[in-house]
Amino acid sequence: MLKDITLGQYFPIDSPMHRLDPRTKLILLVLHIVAIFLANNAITCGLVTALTLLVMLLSRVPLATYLRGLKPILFVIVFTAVLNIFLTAGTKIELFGYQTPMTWEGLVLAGKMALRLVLLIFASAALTYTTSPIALTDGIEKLLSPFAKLGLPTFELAMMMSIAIRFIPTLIEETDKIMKAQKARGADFESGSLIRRVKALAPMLIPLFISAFRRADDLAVAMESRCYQGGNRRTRLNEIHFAGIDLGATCIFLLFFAVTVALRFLL
Amino acid sequence: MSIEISGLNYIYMEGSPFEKQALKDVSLSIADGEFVGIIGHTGSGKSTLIQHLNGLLKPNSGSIKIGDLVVTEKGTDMKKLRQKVGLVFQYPEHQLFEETVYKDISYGPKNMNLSQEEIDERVREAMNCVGLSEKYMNRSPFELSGGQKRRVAIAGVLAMNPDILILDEPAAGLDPAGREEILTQIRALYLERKMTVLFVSHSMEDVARIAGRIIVMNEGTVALDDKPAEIFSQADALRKMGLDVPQITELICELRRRGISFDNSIYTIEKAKATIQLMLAKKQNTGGDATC
Repeated sequence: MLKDITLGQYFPIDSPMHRLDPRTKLILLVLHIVAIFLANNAITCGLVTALTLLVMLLSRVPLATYLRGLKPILFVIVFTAVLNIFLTAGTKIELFGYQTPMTWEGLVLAGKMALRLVLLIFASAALTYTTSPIALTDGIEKLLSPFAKLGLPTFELAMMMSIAIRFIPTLIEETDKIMKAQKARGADFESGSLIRRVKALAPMLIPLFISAFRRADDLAVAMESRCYQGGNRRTRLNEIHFAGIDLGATCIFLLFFAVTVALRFLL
Repeated sequence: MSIEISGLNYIYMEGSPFEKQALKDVSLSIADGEFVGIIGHTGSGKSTLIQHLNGLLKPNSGSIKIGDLVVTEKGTDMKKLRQKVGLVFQYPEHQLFEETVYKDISYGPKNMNLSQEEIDERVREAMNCVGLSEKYMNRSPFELSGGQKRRVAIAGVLAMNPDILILDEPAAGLDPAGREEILTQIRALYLERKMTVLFVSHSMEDVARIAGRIIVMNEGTVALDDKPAEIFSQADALRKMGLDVPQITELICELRRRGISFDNSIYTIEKAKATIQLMLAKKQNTGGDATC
């Protein structure tokens, strides 16, 4: 169960997508999401799908991994699709001579919404699979740096984010360990009534919180003892650079975006 | 209770770039009442192996039999199995959660749906086993010392009255005195309750002192499986697997290299001391000159 979490997991391989500047990827993802929501006819939908597939191909991450990332929101996709099919006004679909409450318009809308959701997940997964959490927070920090002049604590925000991201796998591991230890003492997390199950969580949550506090304390001491001080005067080991490949990617995305926008409003 | 493992394979994170085969075709049989030490380098598969024994991990292939209970079969009663096979994890004090020592130790027996009197009896017995006096019963486990916390956690498993006790690095992170105490108590427990004990450690000294049989794991396989004397006579093979022989074995090896003959069966400080004293006494009696 715990190892099924793939969204937000970095794939440590090398690909053109991995080499892009995280800032480029972040901005282009936002642009691409706008394009996905603007696409409303066959051609524009085809365009955004093609671009998403291209990105997925270039990331060299197996398709199965992308599909696994879809699992948690499969229910949402199916649910909205069903609602759309039944609740949209329009011509009713006839099946075997009977009139059904489904409509053709609803079917089209459902398909479009499902496509958008799937593309949205794929596109954001392509970002998180190819960008390490550290690079991602670096990128976000750099993108937010203009706001630092307005008093936004960008550095601290980025630091908090990278620490939070860094500790997700650690806490998952810890949870797994504690669950196993309590199971070895006869704990049962999977059966019984809802109240029983919530009660059964205490032996897991209390040790987990205690260990999280202990870790936070240790980390704070370790950072302080190495004279950590946030702020702008810190330099980095790995600077991020906007390179030729970023320019190329930006051009491709802008071109697709322009065509999508033009086709949406012209057709 | 005996343990039969045959052809066990286990793969971590199958189908991802982090895939790793943690156990490769492991077959073992451990008789009732044995005290087995399992040693191996970090990542050799020892922790993975023991988690299979009470069904916390499911093998990709292979079978495990505990007594006459087949763990790997579908529909095995896991609660019953986990009551028979008590597993004490590494740093078990990290799993404490109750307000009082008493409540924490009674968590296992409570899960077994025992009566209140029975629970009470088991808790007292378990505390006695690990040498915790009853005055700690109503203290919070979080205000105890590291060694005491660990004893509370071990008592929590003992209170379930397991037939097989598995301990994963029970002495890790304790000071020498705490270490000594835990090891002595485990040994005493073994003699008293006639349990089958599996003791996982990477400390050769500890294993040498208390185990009757040693299994050496290396890269997911059983590399060596023999009596301590036989294992420690293969110092070079152990070093190749990234393991150290006990310091006393090292000393004996060095002495042997200098031409003093020693028995293979000397791998504890006590035994070595006795043997060397005996040899010195003999030497003085025969009037030979002492060269060492």
